[in-house]
Amino acid sequence: MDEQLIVAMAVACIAEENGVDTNHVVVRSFREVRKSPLAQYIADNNISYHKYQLGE
Amino acid sequence: MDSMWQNSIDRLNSRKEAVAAAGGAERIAKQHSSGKLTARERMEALFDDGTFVELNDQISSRCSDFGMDKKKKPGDGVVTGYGYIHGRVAFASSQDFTVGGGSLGEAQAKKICQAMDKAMVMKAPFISINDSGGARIEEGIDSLTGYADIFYRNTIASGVIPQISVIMGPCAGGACYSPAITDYIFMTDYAQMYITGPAVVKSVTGEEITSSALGGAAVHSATSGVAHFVYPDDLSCLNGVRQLLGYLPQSNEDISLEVPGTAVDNSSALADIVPADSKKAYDVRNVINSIVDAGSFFEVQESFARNIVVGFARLDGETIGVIANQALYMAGSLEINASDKASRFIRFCDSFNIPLLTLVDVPAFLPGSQQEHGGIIRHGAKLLYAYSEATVPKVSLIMRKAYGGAYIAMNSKGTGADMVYAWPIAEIAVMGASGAVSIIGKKAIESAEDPKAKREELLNEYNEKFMNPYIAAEHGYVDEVILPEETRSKIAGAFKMLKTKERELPYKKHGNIPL
Repeated sequence: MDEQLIVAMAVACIAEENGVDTNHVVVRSFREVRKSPLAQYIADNNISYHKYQLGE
Repeated sequence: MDSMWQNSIDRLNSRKEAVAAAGGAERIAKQHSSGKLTARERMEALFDDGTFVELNDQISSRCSDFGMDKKKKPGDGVVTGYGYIHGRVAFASSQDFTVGGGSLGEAQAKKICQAMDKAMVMKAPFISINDSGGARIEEGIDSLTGYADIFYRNTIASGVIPQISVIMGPCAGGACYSPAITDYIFMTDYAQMYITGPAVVKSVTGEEITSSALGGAAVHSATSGVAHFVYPDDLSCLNGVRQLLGYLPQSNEDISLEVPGTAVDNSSALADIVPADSKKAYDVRNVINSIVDAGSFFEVQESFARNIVVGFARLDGETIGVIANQALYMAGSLEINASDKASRFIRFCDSFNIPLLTLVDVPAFLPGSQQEHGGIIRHGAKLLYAYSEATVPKVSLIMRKAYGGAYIAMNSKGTGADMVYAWPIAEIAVMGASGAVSIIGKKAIESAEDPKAKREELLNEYNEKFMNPYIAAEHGYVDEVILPEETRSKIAGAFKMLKTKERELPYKKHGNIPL
C-alpha cells in the first residue's frame, strides 16, 4: 500500500469519527510531525516505555 | 505582513529557540550519557501527552557580578509550567542541569515561586523536579533568599495542595529542605541528597564517605526515611509520580478520583494467609491485596521501617490509606521509625480527605534502651496524636494481637476509630499471656508445690479469659467480630456508611504534635 493511500484512509477515518462526510474532505497539504525530544530520545536509545495511565 | 512585524516575530522566535536549546547540544548529550533526561523531556514524561505549557520562559538573571551578565543562562536553569495528569491540571518546575548546573539564583527562584503560586490559586498539585548543583554562589544572599521564598511557599501550601519532590540528580545543602517540607520525595538510583557533601564531611569530621553512601537513594529509602519512592531511572520515576497522583485529590477541598477497578473479593483466602498461632509470621501485604481492589495497592516507604506497611489502595474504586503492622519484621512491633512513618502518612491522608483502614497485629512498642533513649515516648505519641486528630473515616480490623499501648496507638476506639472489627482469633489484652502471668501470678507460682504446673494453669486461665476479642466486644471497644471471608464486604460497607461523616475539631491555630 502506498503512502498516499494510507494517509487518505487515515483522513477518512478521522472524518468519519467526527461525523464529517468524507466526500467533502479535501486534503490540501501534508506536514511531517517531528518527534518530540523525549520521543526522539526514546527511539534513539531503543527504550521500552509506556506512560502510566490511571487505573493500570 | 510588513517588515516590522516580521522582525519582531523573528526576534521572538530567536529568543524562544535560545531558551529551548537549553545548555546546548554538548551538555544535553552529556546529560543523556549519564542516563538522565533533560528538564523539558522530564516535563513531557510527567504530563499527559502534549499538554505541557511552559511559563515564564524569558525570565533571566539580573546579576552582573563575576561576569554573570556575559554568561547565557536560557530559562535561568529551570523550566516551569503546567499541564494535565490523568486529565487534571498540575503545576511543575524542572531544574535544568545543562544550564549553569541548574543552580538556583534570584530569577530561578522567582520562576519556581510563580508556578507554586499558580498551583495554590488553582488548588492543583505542585511537582518539583530537582537536578541542581545548589545555590548560585555568584548571586550571594539573593539565591539564599530564593530558597527561603520556596520553603515558605512549601510550608504554606502544606496540607492545601499535594506537593511532590522528584530528585533526579544532586540536591545538596539548603536545597534539601524544600523536598523535605513537601509531602513525598521520589528519587532515582543516581540521585543524591545531603546537607553537607563528602568533602565537607571529611574536612570537618575526618570521615571518608562516598556521595551515594552519604545520601544516595538506597540510604534515604531504607535508613533515613527521607525518600518515599525510589526508581531506577527518570522515566520509571515520573511514571511513579503519575501513579501516586492517581490516588490523590487536587487539594484539601477535593476528593480523590473514583477509578472503577476489579472489585475482586479475595477475603476467603485470609484464613490461609494469617496463621492463627500469633507467633507465626506472614506478609501483611497479602492481606491488604486480598481486601482491596485487585492490583490497587501502592506502597509508600517500602524499604523504611518495614515493621509497618503504609500505602494507598482503592476499595470499590475509591482511594483509601492503609496502615498495617507487618508481622514479618520485628513481629510487627512499633518503634521510633514505624511511629514516624505511620504518623506522617495518617496526617497526609487526613489533610486530603482520604479515609483510613488500619490492620492491627501488634505485640507491643519495642522495648530497650535504644528505643527509650531515642525517644520512643515522643515518637510513639505522634501516632496517638495523628489518629486522634484525624477526622476522616477511620476503620480498624484487629487481625491477631492487639496488646497494651500499641493496641491503643493503632486506631483504637478510644482514639476515635469509627468502626472496629476483629477476627475470632484476635487477642485484645494489656499484654501477652506469658508476660501477664509472670506479673499477676508471680506469688502464686512461687508458692506453688509445682511452679511449672501452676504457671501452665494460670496461662490457660489467662488465655481462656483474655486472649480473644469478646471482652473488647462486650465492652464496646470492638463493633463486630467478623469472619475472615466477610472482611472486604464489612470494611467496604463501613466506608460507604461513613462517607457522609462530619467531625470538626475545636478551633485552634494549630495543634502541637510532639515532633
